[in-house]
Amino acid sequence: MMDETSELGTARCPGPSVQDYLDQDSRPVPPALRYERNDHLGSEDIDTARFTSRAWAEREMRQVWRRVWQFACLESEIPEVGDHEVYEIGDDSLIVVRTAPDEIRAFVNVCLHRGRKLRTGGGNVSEFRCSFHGFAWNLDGTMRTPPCAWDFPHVSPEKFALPEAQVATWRGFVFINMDPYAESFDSYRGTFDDYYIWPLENRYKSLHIGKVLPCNWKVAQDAFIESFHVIATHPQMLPWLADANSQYDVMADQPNWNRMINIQGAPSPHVADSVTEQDVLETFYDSRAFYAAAQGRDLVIREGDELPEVPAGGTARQVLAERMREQLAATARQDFSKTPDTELLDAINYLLFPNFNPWGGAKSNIIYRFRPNGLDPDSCTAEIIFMSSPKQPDEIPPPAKIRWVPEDMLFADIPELGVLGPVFDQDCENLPYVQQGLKAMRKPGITLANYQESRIRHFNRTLDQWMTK
Amino acid sequence: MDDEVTHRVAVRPSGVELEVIDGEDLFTAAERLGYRWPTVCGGQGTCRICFVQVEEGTENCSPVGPLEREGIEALRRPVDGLTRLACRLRVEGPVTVTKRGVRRRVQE
Repeated sequence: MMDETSELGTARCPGPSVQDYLDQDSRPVPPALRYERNDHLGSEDIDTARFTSRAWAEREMRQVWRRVWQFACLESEIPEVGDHEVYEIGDDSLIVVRTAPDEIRAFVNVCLHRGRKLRTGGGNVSEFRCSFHGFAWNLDGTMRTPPCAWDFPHVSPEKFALPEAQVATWRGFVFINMDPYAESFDSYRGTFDDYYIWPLENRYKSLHIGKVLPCNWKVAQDAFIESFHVIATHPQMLPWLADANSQYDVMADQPNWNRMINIQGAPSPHVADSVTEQDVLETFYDSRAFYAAAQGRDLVIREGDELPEVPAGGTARQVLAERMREQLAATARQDFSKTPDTELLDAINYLLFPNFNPWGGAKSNIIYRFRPNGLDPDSCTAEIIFMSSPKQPDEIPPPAKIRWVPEDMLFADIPELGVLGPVFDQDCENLPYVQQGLKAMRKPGITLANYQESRIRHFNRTLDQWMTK
Repeated sequence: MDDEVTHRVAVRPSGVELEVIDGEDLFTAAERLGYRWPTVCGGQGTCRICFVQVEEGTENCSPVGPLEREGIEALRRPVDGLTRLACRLRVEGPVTVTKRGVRRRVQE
């Protein structure tokens, strides 16, 4: 059925590759984006139980979520001593608290007396006092004298310190790990820092949307780490988005991160023979007609302005990149004159296992976070975070608070998401039907493309390694 | 100390009158002036035992912050400015509150 090269996973879409496009970039492209590697990790089906089984979800909590480094919150959300956020995953609940100007710690969010959760949300406190009987702990997790201490001669404060999780910070983000014996976060990331090169620490959280989706968290995550689905799910993008020739970087020896680069401002190989460079440019602009100019993120045509023409022999990509530079120079106090086209136009998406899913690039960066919703295998939480450059470098706005939108509300109805809203809705339209279909399917597993879905294989392989470790 | 601005807070039913320094919370003022004010947490804003009912002078009271709001809601009182936590309440003019159990501390 397949030829030998596809058996080895080396077959690629005919036509220009991502690196071919980067060869044509008007500026030098950083080595991090010139890197290309895809280790073939097999072609076997992936079992469906991981997506549908409650027992699998419970085991996943014990084997994976209790042992891996995971994105909990932003440092900017807890700037003052006593500021805290509650991070919950499965049945676990942690208070992530700033205990000193340069120290963040995470404690199990439960009173050791009768088990009530200590905090039900973030805020600022100088102690954690249980609302049930008033047992209290200092910010460093040590126990305060309990009420009616005479009745607790059997409780020694030394043994009643709050259990703690490990905390690490990275470019303004706070990660936690509930396993006291876990490897360091620096070691866990592997070579990720060499390839995720954008200074998230200089950006601020300008938008944070959360929504419960009716599917397993891995069904959702898997839907956002490949571009293969564009042909059927987002057909309106084909004239300006090079989908089938996206680049997927998957390393067998880097289990905790992977990447894709998806060229934009160039046609999909599916339609390349029928669209002109001017078609590419016009459809690209068209798709951004509603994009949030406030985010300073993308191209817009001002009223009364004409669409630019692609010069003879030129490409839409060159024109779009130049226009993007001009627009950003007008709205941001940053110099984009040396920024390569790829960092202005392309979708460069990373996944740091399991729940940190940032986009790269010189503009605002989007970060997705998909997580289980309690222990329910049939639902998850999806979050969209925008990290934007401040208008003035020394005037950083406070981070946007998360806004949970109801299940029946469309992302398209959230104006700040701009063009991403309806696109996200197209993605989410599939998800409940995948969740239902996985249960109706007679075949025991899903089948993946060797290359275009290699990040899904890599992600699930890492998951399997934790499940069996 | 002499030119410090203070505001008078009357506490019913005991009739205690406290000169609260500008920027100081009511609980801390009472402690400073030698009064015992009901508390467990000692002014951390977490035990909610120090709460008062504001009878007069709500316009002279500081706004309710997030932790105090949490406490008032836990007391199942409306957050309408009439129920306040003494350890979070700052005043900018005369105020009258009701709080039982405010007594001069006995010298030991």
